Amino acid sequence: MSQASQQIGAAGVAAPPSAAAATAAAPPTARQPATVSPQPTSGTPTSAAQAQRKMNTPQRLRLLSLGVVVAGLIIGLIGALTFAYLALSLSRAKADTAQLIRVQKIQSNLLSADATATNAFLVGGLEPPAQRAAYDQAMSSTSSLIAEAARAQPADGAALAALNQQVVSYAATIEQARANNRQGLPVGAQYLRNASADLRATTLPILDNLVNANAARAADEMHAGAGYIVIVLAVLGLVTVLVAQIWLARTFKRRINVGMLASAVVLLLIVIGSLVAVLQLRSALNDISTGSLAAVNAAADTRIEANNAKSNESLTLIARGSGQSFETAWKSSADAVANNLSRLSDKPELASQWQAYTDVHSQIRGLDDGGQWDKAVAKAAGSGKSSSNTVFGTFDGNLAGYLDGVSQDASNSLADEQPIMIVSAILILLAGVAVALLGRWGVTERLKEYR
Amino acid sequence: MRLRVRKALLAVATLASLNAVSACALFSYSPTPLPSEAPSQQPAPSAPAAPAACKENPLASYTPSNPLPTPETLPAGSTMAKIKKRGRLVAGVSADTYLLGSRNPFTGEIEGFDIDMVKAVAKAIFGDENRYQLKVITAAQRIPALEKGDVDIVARNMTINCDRWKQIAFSGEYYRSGQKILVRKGSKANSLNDLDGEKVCAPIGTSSMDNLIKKAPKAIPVGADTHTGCLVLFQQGQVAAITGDDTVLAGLAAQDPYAVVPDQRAFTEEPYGLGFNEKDIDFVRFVNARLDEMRTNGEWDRIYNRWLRGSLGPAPRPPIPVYGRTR
Repeated sequence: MSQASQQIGAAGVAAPPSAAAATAAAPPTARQPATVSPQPTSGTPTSAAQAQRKMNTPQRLRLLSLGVVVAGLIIGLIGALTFAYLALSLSRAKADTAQLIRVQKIQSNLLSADATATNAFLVGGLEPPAQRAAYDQAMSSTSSLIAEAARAQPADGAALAALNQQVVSYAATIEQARANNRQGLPVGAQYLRNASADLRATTLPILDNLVNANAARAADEMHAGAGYIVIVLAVLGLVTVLVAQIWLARTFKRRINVGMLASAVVLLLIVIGSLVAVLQLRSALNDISTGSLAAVNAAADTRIEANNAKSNESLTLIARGSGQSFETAWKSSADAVANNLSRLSDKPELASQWQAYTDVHSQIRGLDDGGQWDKAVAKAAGSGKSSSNTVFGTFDGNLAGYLDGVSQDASNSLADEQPIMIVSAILILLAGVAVALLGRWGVTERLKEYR
Repeated sequence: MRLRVRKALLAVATLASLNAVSACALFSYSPTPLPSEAPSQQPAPSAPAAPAACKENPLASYTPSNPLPTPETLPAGSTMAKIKKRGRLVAGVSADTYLLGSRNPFTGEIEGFDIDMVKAVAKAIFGDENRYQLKVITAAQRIPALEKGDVDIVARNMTINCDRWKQIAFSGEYYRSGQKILVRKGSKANSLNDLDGEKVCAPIGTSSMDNLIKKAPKAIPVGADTHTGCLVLFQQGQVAAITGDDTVLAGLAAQDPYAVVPDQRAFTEEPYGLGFNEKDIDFVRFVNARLDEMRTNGEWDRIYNRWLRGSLGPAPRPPIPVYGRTR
């Protein structure tokens, strides 16, 4: 190469810059043209250079053949790996989303259990069997979800172990509250308050961390950026093949080398195909994260806050007059619910059902603040048609159904993208091999001329 | 040479692909962080309230009306007449102080020694002890509720002192309580001095906690939100003893067969009075007359025996009220 640059330098002294550029485009192994023949070199090789090339061209052709084969295989291999990586990312995003939904479910289950336990306390020592069953159901579902979550994501292991300890301790404290309440001892209510306070102070922060970590993981996996590597590589390959095509055309006085052209066409197809696949994936991921996944997050958060509010409604009544802090907590949860519901515009009936519940709550507060605690409790803990439990139950049931629906949507949409990526990986591998074979065939045709 | 190039390229490609595979497939997430431990609640001794300089004996209340008017002869325009016209006596009480004022989970009713005091007043106004409405208030709400007129009377184990006399009015003393300790059954401790090095619980921000820190500096103070919260810590083995007014401790001991209030001298004196709006002097005089009646006709003893005898022993002599406040 150093000789070539010397040669170019020498030619540059004697020739205009355009000629030097032409020499640079010509094969660099031409050793002596400028000095041997004093006239400036031009686009068409001189007879002396031609003589020289007859010795070197087959070697150059072989190198070109190797280059095309390597380029095609690299594009095919890296392309296939990249699309496989995208498919893998999708499956990880799906798993992360499933885990996110799982931990959100644990959170709303626990708060729903707490809402049920505190509400049952209002009735007295003897819990209504239906509420007891609802509490047991929520707690056992929580336990199985924790075990499931620990299997699904080892990185959550430590947090889930800590969570499990908290849940066990919560359940134990609630049982102590029950046992004391059944004997009519006020310390029972204190155990209940402690359990509820611990749940909010210690357990929910662990769950918040789990929710945030899994949401961040899912978001990290939901990127199509890696796909651009393939496009850049394929474009580079295309440019190289086109340059080689031009060189062949000039060297052999044939406009078109069929193999090289076919190779270029395949590369162009790779560029277009990858671009389509990557852009398609990008827009699909965008749709999922702003669509169903956003709905999952909003709905889960709504359910958590709503059950938090319901617990606080009961705790306010249990504390009888010392419950202002619980009512304040109710208000902040209720604001969060209303705010979230405005984001779930595809389900307007949820907003009206929540409004119905807040109306009942206002009536309860009105009764309690007016000194009619008994009537307030009857409305809060009863099971009549306009009771807090019934109205809230309607809202919570619908919300849970909606949440299941959007969770399924998010999971399905992610799953739908996976086959596209896998097919893209296979196609690009085949296309890369085709680039290599077609290019090699094209060069071999020229090589035959030297046999 | 060509072969070598090919091999080298292949090796590079293999390495690159291996790297890519290990980077995406074998890569695992960093563990989900755990929330940092919240600092445990440590009671800080609140600044000891400087005893207000009393010009008068704080226990001195207004002289009782004589004779006690009957429901039919309530003076026109008096506070009692207004209450009678309304149809019910509104009282601010506690709902979680067992034996003094707490909700019976079976009946849903709030009951206790303080509630029976409210009933006695209602009977004097209406001739019917059930003409009352209870408002559950916190200790901190006692004075504001009276000042705003939300309640006619506060019966919530309230200690009479000079500071409070500046804002509200008190009846004559209706119960003499004092701070004591509650320990585990079988414990040899029967005074605060026996608790050196032990963990002792009292509600944060109360005079019970201040007294504990002041009078037993070697005990380890542990705070809770309420006395019932202390009982939970006691049952969980986190504290060895609880300190508070004997009436409150009696309520705790009654909930746990392993908690006892040993025979001991109270180390503070907590005279309880019923609280009133400072303008309702006629009502205070009326209630003082009613309390005098209860002390002499045995009603006070019956109420004491009903609630406190089981935990605090036989009825002491009712406290002798002091009168003569003029203000």
